[in-house]
Amino acid sequence: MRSLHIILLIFYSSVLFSQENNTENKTIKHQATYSISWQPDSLNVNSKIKNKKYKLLMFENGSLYVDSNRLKLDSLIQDSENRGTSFALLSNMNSLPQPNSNNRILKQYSKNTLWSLNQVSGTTYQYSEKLKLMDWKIEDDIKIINTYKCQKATVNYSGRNYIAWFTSELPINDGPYKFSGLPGLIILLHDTKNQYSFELINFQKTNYLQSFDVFNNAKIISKKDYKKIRNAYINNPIVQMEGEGAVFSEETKRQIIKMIRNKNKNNNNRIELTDD
Amino acid sequence: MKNLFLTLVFVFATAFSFAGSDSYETKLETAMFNDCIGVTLSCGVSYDICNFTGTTSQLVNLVIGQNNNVCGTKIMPVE
Repeated sequence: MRSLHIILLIFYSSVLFSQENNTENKTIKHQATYSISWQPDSLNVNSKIKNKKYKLLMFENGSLYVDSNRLKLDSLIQDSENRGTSFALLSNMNSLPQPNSNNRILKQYSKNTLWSLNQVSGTTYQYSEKLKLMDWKIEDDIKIINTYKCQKATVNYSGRNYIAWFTSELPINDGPYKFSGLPGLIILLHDTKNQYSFELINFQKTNYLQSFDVFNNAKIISKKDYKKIRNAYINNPIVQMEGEGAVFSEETKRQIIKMIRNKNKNNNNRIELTDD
Repeated sequence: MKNLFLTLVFVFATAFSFAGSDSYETKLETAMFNDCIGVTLSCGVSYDICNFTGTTSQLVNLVIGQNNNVCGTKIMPVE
């Protein structure tokens, strides 16, 4: 009977640990910068947002994909926290870097897990997914992109058909967003409708420690619940913000609701079209 | 002179009594947030945050997150 208890204890412990992500500081060995373009309104080609920078920070057995401005903001917050001057950041919000996305993708190859971290208002959420083996089809086409000799590959991912160009000159099986699994780093990637594109503009070897503390402070929820919270926030941001301690006048409430709805108006073209 | 000496002793004793647990700064800030503080976002929207019980850094992260969502540019829709 005692053995059974011990076995159950070990089982529950392993289940608990498997729910956590590994958030200790990691040494970044390589850093890639991608220029991203996307079309927020699926029906309007002119709505395209261009040349936003994202970083892919690669460490042993994994990587972190994050908006460059978000990284700068994190660094500013950390520095001011260390100096005890955090409060000063609030005095001039206009001067702070403005990320296009607070989304962070953490790939953990050793655990076969992908963590997606997102911020809704002032609260940060994260959910995990299995790191999928993408069903890439490698083709014979070769071309030079940004001095790298690249080979073509295609895949269908979450409802979109993509064309990728990867290089075996950089033998890292990673890429932007949730893409990975090719025998070389992805240099260029776009869907066949050209609504989303990712192009490598810089690659460098590095050796510095990156904090992953943000994952320690994020609430772990399911992807389904995250979507519910996000949609509820877009529909009525006031409920979420009041839950975070905000107190508004009626006029400010109306102003915020209008601003959030305007921003999300025609922002209908999600990169993931299906939930598979 | 005696009064000055006693005042200095009191100040040092108070400062050292905060050392060893949470930082003095954090305690002061946490106490300050028990009421309300005014916030003005980068697009001019103003409101109060009341009864916040965390540290300054947590408050800063909260306000920056609210600022990004209310005033920031169109966010890439992912999932």
